[in-house]
Amino acid sequence: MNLDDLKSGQLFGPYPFEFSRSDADDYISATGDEATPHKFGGNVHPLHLDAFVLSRLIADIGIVENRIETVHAGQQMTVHREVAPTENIVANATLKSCSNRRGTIWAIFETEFVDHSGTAVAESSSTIIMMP
Amino acid sequence: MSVPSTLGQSLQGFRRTVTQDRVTSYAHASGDHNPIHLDEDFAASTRFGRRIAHGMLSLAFVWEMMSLNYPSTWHRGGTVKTRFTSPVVPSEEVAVSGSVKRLRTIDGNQMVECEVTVTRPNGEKALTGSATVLLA
Repeated sequence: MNLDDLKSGQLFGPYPFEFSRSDADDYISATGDEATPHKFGGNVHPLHLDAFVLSRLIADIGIVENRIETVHAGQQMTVHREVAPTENIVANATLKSCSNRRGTIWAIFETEFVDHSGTAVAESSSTIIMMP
Repeated sequence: MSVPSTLGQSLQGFRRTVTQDRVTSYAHASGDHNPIHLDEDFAASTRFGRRIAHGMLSLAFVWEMMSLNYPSTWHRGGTVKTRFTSPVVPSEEVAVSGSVKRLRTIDGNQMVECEVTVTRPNGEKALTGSATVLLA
């Protein structure tokens, strides 16, 4: 994808996914939070959902492939309930706003995470700056 | 256990060293293999001049602090709004801190809004923002 192709209102996904117990543990361990697993009651770290979607957006936009310099400028997240390992979740992302300032793209992606019944489990907003 | 609920009250924070190994582990665990975090040559060509840690890693530290201070409510209805204002460079030890900024009632629920920060060794804020959580 060319950065010039990004348009406000553009949809990304749906991204269906599930995390194994091992995936979930690896994420928590990578943050250095050795005390947290018991706090999550065996559930997935909520930020893991967001991190997954960011990785998919990065792939779909071609940031790694095209070696585009990016800055993650801001992040919001609200969690409605925790997600268990192996639970099927679907993320739908929307490019809420996209502005081009002298070739630098400022993009805000909003994502909703829903469970198998379509009920929202979390929502997030990510501000990404992409340099030409 | 009482939770921080007085205006201005400090949260229990902590310090953590962000090594390149941790950044690499985070990249693998999260799937975010952006070269700015991993590729020394690519990172040298960017405005930062070297590899930087994921902003989401700093946010995870804030998440951990909120879990620590509000263990029974943070994971149901907790909200964070943060800006990544300065990159954390591997090998830096960051300080994760917060304080109670506002108390309010929403839909009959008592909420605590905390100011949260992640601070680099040079005093620059790597992350600033707020975290809102149910009081009980």
